Amino acid sequence: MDYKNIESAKYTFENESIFCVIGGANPVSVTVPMATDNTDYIEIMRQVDAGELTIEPADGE
Amino acid sequence: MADLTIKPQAGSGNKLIIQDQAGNARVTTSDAGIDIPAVTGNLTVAGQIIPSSPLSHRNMIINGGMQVAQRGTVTDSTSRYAGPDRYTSFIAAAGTWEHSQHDMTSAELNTTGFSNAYKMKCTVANASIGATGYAILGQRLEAQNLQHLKWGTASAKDMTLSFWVKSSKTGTHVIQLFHDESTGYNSIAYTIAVANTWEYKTMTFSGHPSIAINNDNGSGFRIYFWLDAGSNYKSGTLTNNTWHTTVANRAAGQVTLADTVNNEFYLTGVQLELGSNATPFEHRSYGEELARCQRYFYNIFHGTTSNLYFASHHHSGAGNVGWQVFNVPFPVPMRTLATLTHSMTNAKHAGSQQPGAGTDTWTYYVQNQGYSSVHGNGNASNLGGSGIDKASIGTYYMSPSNTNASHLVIGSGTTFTFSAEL
Repeated sequence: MDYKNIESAKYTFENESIFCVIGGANPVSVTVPMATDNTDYIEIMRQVDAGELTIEPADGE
Repeated sequence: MADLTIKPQAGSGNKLIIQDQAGNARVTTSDAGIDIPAVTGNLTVAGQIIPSSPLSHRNMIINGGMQVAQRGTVTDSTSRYAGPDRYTSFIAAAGTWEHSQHDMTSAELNTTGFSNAYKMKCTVANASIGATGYAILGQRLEAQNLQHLKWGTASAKDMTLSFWVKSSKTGTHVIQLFHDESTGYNSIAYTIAVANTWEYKTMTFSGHPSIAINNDNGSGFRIYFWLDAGSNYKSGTLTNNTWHTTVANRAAGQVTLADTVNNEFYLTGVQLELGSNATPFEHRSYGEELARCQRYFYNIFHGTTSNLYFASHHHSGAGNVGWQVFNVPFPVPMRTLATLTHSMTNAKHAGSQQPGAGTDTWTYYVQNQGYSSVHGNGNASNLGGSGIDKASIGTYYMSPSNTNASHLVIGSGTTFTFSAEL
């Protein structure tokens, strides 16, 4: 996962995962499950704790 | 019956030689004091062979022969998984590198016995990387597969690393273990004697006597192949095969591969095994190696250039806003719940097809988390759920423009991968 190009992050419906839009040369959409042994989730939470990333709340249905 | 002891005369180079009746040497010890005889000719053992290290599944490295490369070629200036599977780069302020699976020439195959290698090529140089800069190629090993090493006990096992390497730079290169359960390093330097020439290296690392490896699905330790290092990592003194916690000693002496564009580093035949001796590489089939890799990364388009069709769990009517959920079964259970990465957009996405009708184009209304998510977020439904053996992927608020939908098609030009890397 291209952590340096995260353009937005938002909790998904029912807060089961985090949906990220990744920019850069090869834009992709990434869905990261909120599993504590998923290393992408660990890195995203590290960025949140460091104040480098804000995760938007999930929209209502 | 008393023991019969035969030994060579004292002195270096004196051997114990057992001859046949014709006077030919049949068993020769390697040297005085070494208890491994070199046998000339066939060896028949009437009893069992009882080795102290395993005869199969010796190699703790996955994809040591670099056969599997689901990600293809990637160029980046930061740390990431790229090139052949299971290997990750650790790069910070040390130029930009192209990661790829190198196809060996016939001459290279003849020399090494391998058809592929990991290739790192410097595309943007940094001739004076800062103190905190580094360029490393490494692999993380899953902790629960390393319990037989007995780290953290008085019986901690040695292990031997062997590999083929080719570098643009001669001189000192460093291999370093990184204990993931603590701050612990163990480095061994090796020398590239001739630039751009394949060389075979072996080295033996001591097990960590006091810090155990957790018995879980996390990373137990990492193997680092250093390519370049800032002064924070190389300003100290490297003492081979010594566990320590001094950052400055980790890569002391390492040459600077990031200083010139087109510098290259090739690696293959990586084997890490129990014991103090390197044995011949344990070649595994492509299928075996692919399955091991897919525990950590699965590219649904690996090995195919066709569109992929999925049956879905909901039928959306023509012109109606609807949703669908489809399951992607994984070839092997993944290490943990996986991250889904895709490149599908409204202009480059799945189509749908009603039997008898032409391929249609969906319109995806990117609401909520977007059009897809792992764990069965097909609107309010959770059909099948997700786990380490499959993902249920829900589309969100899409509308077939002029026909009913029966299934989903993911175009072959898209990215669609699952990652549960360490």
